[in-house]
Parts: sequence; structure tokens; C-alpha cells
Amino acid sequence: MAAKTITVLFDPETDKISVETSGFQGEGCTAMHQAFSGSATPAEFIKKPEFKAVQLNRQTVRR
Amino acid sequence: MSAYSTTPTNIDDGDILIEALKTMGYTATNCIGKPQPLVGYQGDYRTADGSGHTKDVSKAMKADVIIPRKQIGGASNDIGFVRGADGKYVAVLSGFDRGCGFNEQWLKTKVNPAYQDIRIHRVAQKMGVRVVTSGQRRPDGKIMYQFLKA
Repeated sequence: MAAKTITVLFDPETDKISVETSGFQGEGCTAMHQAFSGSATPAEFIKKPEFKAVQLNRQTVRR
Repeated sequence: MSAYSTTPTNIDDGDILIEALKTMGYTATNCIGKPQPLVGYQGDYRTADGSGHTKDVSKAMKADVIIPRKQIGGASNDIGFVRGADGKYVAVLSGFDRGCGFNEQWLKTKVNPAYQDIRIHRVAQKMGVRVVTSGQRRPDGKIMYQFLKA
């Protein structure tokens, strides 16, 4: 099982925070992004292929 | 006269702000929800628009978090942080103190990083993640934190 890592970058110059997650699947990474971004302006919010794969599987199950 | 003027911030947690200021060597007064008047270098108050002097507390400019002027410098004024309607704090700084280095740059390079450091660690604790790298300054000026989720 891949390690779940979270990298938070705070840029004091722009007051922006970017959050990058690795090894998470589905909504797990969304919660991390939202929590670590806080009220600072998020610099990046990128959904990785792992997220999309899980979303696709959920849709398949519903049908 | 050294007029007060305001600078918006992204800070939205007064308790963390007070803790951050403590790490910088300031013991700020917590009057969150019950704002207290800011005191100028002559021991008087400033009007709410920041431009004039007054001895009438009801007309004074007030703040929710205050760094007393004695902690800033001999001729300084109180530094305040006022909680706005959107929940974010606005810094109230006098012209004199801005000239002494307590300005936007101070907020950007000192207060904000200290605030974010405490906030990020609190989030990490809440989310149950382990700290791998904490507050490492990169060559591009960004501050990096890395966490591991079991």
C-alpha cells in the first residue's frame, strides 16, 4: 500500500497555500486540502488521476 | 501626529494569532468579542477613523487583539487586530510604528508565517497525520511542511 503524504507549501510573499497529496484516493485528499488550506487563498487544487478513478468506480456501482 | 491605518490579513483565528505573537516575544491582550481601545504614545485614545485624538472611550478606535505599546517601543502606539464581519482580522498600525518596521512587510514576513506555522500544526494534529518536515524554508522563499498519514 502506497504511503499517504501531504505536502503543504506556504508562500509568505503572496500569502497563498498549496497542498499536494499523494497516495490518497477519492474524497480523502479533498478533506486534507480543505483543512490545510484554511482561510488562506489556495494556490493550487489539483485532483489527481487516483481521485478520478474512484469517482468513475462509484458511478459504475450506482448504475 | 501618527495616524492609525488598517491592513487586511487572512488571519481568522484570534487565539492562534495571540499564540503566534507570543512566539515573537509579544504578550498580546485577548479582548476578542469585547474590543478595547487602542492607546497612543501620549496615553490617549484615537478616534475610530484613526486620524484624531480623544479621551472619550466611546469614540476610540478599538481592537480585539492588542499588543501594548510598551512592548513595541518607547514612543510607539498600541498595535491592534480587529475582527472583521467576514471573520478575518485587520491589522491597525500607526504611521510612526509602520516607519519603525511594524508594517505590511512585518505582517507578511513575521506575523503570517508564525500564525500559519501554529495553524498548520494544529490541523495536522486534528487530521491525525505525522510530521515529517516542519517549516523548512526553501530557496524560493516558500515554507514547506510534509506529513504522513498512517
